[in-house]
Amino acid sequence: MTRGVSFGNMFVMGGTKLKVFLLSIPLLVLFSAGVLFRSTDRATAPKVNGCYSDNLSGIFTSDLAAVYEGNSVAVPSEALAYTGNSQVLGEASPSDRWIEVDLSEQTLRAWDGSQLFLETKISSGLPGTPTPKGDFRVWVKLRATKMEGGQGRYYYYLPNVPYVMYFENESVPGWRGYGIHGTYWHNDFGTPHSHGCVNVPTSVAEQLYYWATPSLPSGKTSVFAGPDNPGIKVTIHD
Amino acid sequence: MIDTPFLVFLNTHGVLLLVVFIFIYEFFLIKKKEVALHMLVSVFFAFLFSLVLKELFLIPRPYLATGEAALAGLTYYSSLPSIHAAISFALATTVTLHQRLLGVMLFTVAALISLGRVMANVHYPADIAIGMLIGVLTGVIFNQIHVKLAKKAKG
Repeated sequence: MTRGVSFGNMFVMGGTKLKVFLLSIPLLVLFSAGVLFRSTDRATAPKVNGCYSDNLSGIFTSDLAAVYEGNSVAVPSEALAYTGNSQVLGEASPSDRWIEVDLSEQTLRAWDGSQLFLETKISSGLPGTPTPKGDFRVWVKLRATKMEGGQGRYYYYLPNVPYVMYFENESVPGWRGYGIHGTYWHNDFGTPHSHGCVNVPTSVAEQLYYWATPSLPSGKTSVFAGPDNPGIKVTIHD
Repeated sequence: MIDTPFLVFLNTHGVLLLVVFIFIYEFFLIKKKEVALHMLVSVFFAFLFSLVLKELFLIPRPYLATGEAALAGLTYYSSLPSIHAAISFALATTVTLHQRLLGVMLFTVAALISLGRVMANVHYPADIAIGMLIGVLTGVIFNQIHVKLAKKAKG
């Protein structure tokens, strides 16, 4: 026997096919366990609900390791930068400002009365997790917050999501967590990509954040809308 | 200590470097091309199978569950099984079946890699155990097939 064969002498005896099969059994068991696990996991998976956050302080966390669609993403400095901006006063009175989101064009327009303040491409909710349509009011603005949710490969963990503006109305309450916010984990603006929120580029989100009401007291990282500081109107349509 | 850049690099890409080094050693330096190719096939299938299992199980990595920091690079959300363990143990098993001394050294390295992944909060010990099982089984299975093929080639 040549050297190339002799090393496996002890395995050559008996049918190779049988041996390979017997050895494969643990792998097959593992595989079927995986299939079973996956199917039960699927059945009990809760429906993804907007991009809810349970921390409304707006304060940054030190956590910079995000996970999105199975990939790890580092939170970029742009999302964390302190730009020194403060509330911007527009031409029209704050109550005349409103935000229009066109889902079919995947475009957001910010109106200062009849004047266009800015226009940008956005990413709204995917077909499985659509962005709600209708008239809303922003109820809280947060400089940064953590968003976590989804199941399995669609799990996402996004610390320090920048410039978040959550909106609500009578039929879509605030706890469902729909909002407009900056986005550092994808760059796909112009096509739906989110779990229901309106994703805008971080730099645009920053402008919107300091322009939209409720107006932010200087030095604060979050502000709630109230009777004397109403939230901006957000209209979402096809 | 484990979060120094060099160790994080080793903990992330060390296993790839190891495979490349051993391949170069076997293929070009001592010219055991058979071992080198056998090794590559085992490693590739261990990787593939682990990837399939990761996709099936989708258990979050420990740093996501506990909130501690991840001290090693990773590319995937799913924890079970450890691809690092599967690859390094497949490599060690294959080489052991041909060159015992080098194999034993590789088993030590594989154990160190696995330990590093657990210490860096990116794997549970159970992921390592399953990865190890996959690695060793893949190595042995491809050895069987290899022996059969070698026998056939000799007539």
